[in-house]
Amino acid sequence: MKKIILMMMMAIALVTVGCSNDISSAEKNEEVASTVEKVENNNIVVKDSNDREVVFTKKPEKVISLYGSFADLWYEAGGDLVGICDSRRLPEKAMELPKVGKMSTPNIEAILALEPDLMIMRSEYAKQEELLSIFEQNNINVIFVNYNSFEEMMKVYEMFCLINGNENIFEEKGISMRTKISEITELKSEFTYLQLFATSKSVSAKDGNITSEIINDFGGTNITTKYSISSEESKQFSLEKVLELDPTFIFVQTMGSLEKTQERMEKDIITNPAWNSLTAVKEGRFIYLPNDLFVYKPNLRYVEAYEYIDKIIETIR
Amino acid sequence: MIKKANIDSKIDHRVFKIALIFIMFIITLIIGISYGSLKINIIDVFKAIFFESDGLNHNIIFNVRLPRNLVAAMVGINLALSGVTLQGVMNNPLASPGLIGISSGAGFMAFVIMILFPDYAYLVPIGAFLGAISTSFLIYLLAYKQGVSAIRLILSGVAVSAFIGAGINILMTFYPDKVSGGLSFMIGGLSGKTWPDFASIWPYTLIGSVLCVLLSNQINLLQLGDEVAIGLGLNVEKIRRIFIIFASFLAASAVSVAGLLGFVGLIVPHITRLIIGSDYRYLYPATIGVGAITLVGCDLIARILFDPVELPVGIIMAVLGAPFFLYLLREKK
Amino acid sequence: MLIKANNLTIAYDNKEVVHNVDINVNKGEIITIVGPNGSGKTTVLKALTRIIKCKKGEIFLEGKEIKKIKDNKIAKKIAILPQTRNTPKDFNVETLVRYGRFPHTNWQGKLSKEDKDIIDWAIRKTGMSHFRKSKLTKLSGGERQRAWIAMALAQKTEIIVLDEPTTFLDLSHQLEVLELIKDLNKSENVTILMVLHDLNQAIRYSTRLYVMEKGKVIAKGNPEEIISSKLLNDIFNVNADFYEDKRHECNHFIPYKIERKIHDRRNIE
Repeated sequence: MKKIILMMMMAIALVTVGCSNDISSAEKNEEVASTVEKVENNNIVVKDSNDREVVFTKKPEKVISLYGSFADLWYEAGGDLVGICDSRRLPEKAMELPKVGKMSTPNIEAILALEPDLMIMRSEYAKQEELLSIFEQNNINVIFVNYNSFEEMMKVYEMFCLINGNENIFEEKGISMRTKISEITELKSEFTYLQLFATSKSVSAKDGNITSEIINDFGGTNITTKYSISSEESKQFSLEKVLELDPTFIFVQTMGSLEKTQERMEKDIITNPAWNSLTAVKEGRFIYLPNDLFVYKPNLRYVEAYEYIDKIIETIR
Repeated sequence: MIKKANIDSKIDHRVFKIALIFIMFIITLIIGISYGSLKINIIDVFKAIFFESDGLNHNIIFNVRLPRNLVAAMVGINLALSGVTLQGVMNNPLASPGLIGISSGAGFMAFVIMILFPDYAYLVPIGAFLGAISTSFLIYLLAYKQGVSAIRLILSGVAVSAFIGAGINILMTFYPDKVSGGLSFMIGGLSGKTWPDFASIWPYTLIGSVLCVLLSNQINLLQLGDEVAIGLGLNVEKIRRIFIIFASFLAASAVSVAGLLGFVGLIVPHITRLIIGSDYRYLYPATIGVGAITLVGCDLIARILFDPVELPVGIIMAVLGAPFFLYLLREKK
Repeated sequence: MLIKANNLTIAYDNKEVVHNVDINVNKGEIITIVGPNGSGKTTVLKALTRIIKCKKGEIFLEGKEIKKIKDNKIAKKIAILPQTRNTPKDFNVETLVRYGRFPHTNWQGKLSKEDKDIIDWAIRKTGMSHFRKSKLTKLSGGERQRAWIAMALAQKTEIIVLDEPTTFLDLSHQLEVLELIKDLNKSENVTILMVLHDLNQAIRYSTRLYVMEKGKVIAKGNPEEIISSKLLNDIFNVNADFYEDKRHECNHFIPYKIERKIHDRRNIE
C-alpha cells in the first residue's frame, strides 16, 4: 500500500516538476493564515498567525516582543519597542531595551511593570501561548506570530506596517522584495538537493523550512520530500538512499561560523569513503550555509538570501 | 571405593547456548547487511563486498551498510558489557552505564559543544567521551571513603547525574534556539555511521572482550560479597576500580559514536542472565552475543520500517526489547 | 603462635570501637570470641582478616606483619566465612567450592588435578557429595552453611575464621555445623577462630575464650575458669545456675534472672 502511494507521489512529482513555481506559490497563498482588514471607524482589525482577530483602537505605544526575529521585523515596519526578551540575537536598536526574561521563561512581573499595550508573542510555542489569559485579563493586546515562508512573512510584515500606520513602508520595502525575488528566480534549473543540519555526522535531513522554500524556488527538489511520513521538518535519512540518489547539491546548515565549519569539512567529509563518492562532494557542491540568513529568519534580508543561493546555483547553469 | 565425582566430565550445557547465540549473531549480521534502502539480493551483496572495488553497489554496501552494521554490533557489545560489568561490580541489578554518570557526562559535553562552541561540532564524539570518563571518575572520587562500597557509588552516581542533568536543562533554558543540535545526540542512533566511526570503536570492543574473558573469575568472586572476596585473596578495592574504569571506557566509546542509547546497558544483561545464568565465565561471552544481536537487529528494523526515513534505534529497542524481557521474566519465574 | 595481635585499636569514623585488644591464636586451637552486642567482637575478627584496617596496633601471621604479606599469600593461610555474603542465584555447590581454590590458581582460574582432588575432598568432608550439583538457593540453612565451609576448606588453609556460623540456623543445623568444625579441628588439625553468639556453645567447643565488652577484652582463657557467675552477672546481666555437662565434659549454665545494674538505671533516668 505504501509503495503504491509512493509511486503515485513520484508520478505527480515528475509531472509537476516543470511547473513547480506555480504550484509552490499557490500553496504559499493557501498556507497563509493572517489577513488584514481595515474597519471604518479608524479601528484596525488584524488576524494573527493563530487566526485570532485583534482590534486596535489606536496605534500601540508600548510594545514588547518576546522573540528577537519578530522585533527585527517590527522595527522594519517602523514600529518601536519598550521591552524585549533576553537573547543573543537582538537587532541593534533593541540591545539597550529592558529585558523581560528569556523567550522560554518570560518574566510576567517585568512585563507588566513596563505597562505594555501590545504583546508580540510566538505562535505554537507553549511557554508563550499559555500567557494569553494573563494579558487579556490586564487588557493588553496580544498578537501571535510565526512564519516559515516568504509569503507568510509578507503577511506578518504587512500586518505590522498596518498596525503602525505605515502602509507606505510595506509598499516600498515589502513589494519591492517580492519583485526582486521573482526576478532572481525567473530562470529555473532542474536539480536535486539534500539539506542537512550539521551535527555529529548523522544524516539529519531537513525539509519544509524557509531554506527549502528558497532553494525550491530555483527549481530544486529536496530528495527527502517524497519520503516524508509526517509534516516533520527534520528527520533521519538513509545514507544509502543519499548515495543512490546522488543529489546535485548538498546544503548544510550550521550553528557555527562558516569558516571554521568549512575547514572541518575538508578533513571529515573528503576522507570519508562513503561521503566522498558523492558527486556533490567530488565537484565542490557540498555547501555550508550561513546561519544568519538560513537558520534564523532572514526577514527583510530575504533578497540577500536569494542572491546567496543564486550565486551557488550559478555553478550548474 | 569412594566414587570420585568428576568435575569437568562433560561440556557444560551453557557452552552450547553460547555457541547458539553466536550463530544467531552471524545470521543477524548477514540479514542486516542484506537489507537496506538499496534493494539488492544477497549474492550481489557478497559480490559488492568481496569482489568489487567501485560502483554504486560497492559504494553503498561496503562503505555504508557494512560499517554501519559492524558499528551497531560493537556499540551493542560495548554497552552490554559495560552494563553487565557494573551490575556485577556494584552487586546491583539496576546498575547501568547511566548510573555512573556516563550518560549525563556525555550528554552535557555534547550540549556544551553544540550550544556554546558550534564551530567545534566535530568534537562532539571526543567531548562526549571525555565527559563520560571524567564524570565517572568524579563519581568514584566522591564515593570514596576508605574504599568504595557499591551503595555509595550508586548514590553518588544518582546525585551527580541529577546535578549534571540540571546543567543540561539550564543550557536548554538559556539557549532554546540551539537545542535541536544537542537533542539528536541525546536520542542517539546509528544514522550516517561509516568506517571512521568503526575505527574509533573497535579497539575498545576488542580489548573489552578480551579483558572480560580474563577477569570473569574475579568478578564472580565479587558476586559472593566483598568480605568473602577479600578472604579469597582478591584486592577488592583495586579490582573494583579496574572494572569501573573498564566499564566507563566501554560505555564512553559507545556513547561517543552512537549518542545516548538507553536500554542496552540495563536490560540486555538481564535478558542474557535469564538465558544463561549469573556465572560470568558464561555470562560475559553470552552478553557479547546478545548485545550485538540486539543492536544489529533493532537498527535493521529502524532502517527498513519507514525506509528511507530512519527511526531512532533506541525507540525500536524499547518497543521490542522490553516486552521480550518481560516475557522471559515470566517464563523463568 | 599462628596469629598474634597486639594493642589493636580500631575506629569507625574517628570513633574508637575497639581499644588495646590483644589476641593470640595457637596452632590446633579453637578460639572463640564472645561478648554482648556491640562489644566489638566482629570488628576484631574483621581486622584480623584484613577486611578493615586498624587505627593502631600490629597483627602478626606466623611472625610476619600481616600488612606486609601479599593478599594472595594470606588467603593461602587464612580462610574466612564472614556473616555478610551473597549467594548468587544459580551457583551450585561445586561452583562455589571451586572458588576456594582461587588463591592457588593463576588468573585464568585453571584447575590442576590436585585442585580437583582437594575440591572433591572438601565436598566429601562436609558431607555435601549428594548435593554437589544442587543450586545453593535450594539447600537448607545448615546445608548451605556446610557448602560455604566446604569452600573455606578447599582453600586448604591452616586457619579458618568464622563469624557467627550458627546464628540464624535451626537447632539441628547449628549442631551440624559445630560438630563439623570440631571434627575438622581434630582430624585435619585446622585451627579455628570464631565468634559465637551462644555462650554455652562457646564453652562446649572452644579451647580458649576471649570475652569482650565495649571494645575491650574483659577476660580470656579456659572456658571453665573464666565463665563464672560473676562474669555472667557483670557482662551479660544475668544470674545463672551452673550444671555439669557430662557428655561434653564441660560446664553448662542456665540463666534464670535478669540482673539490672545500678549504673544502667542511672543512664535511663
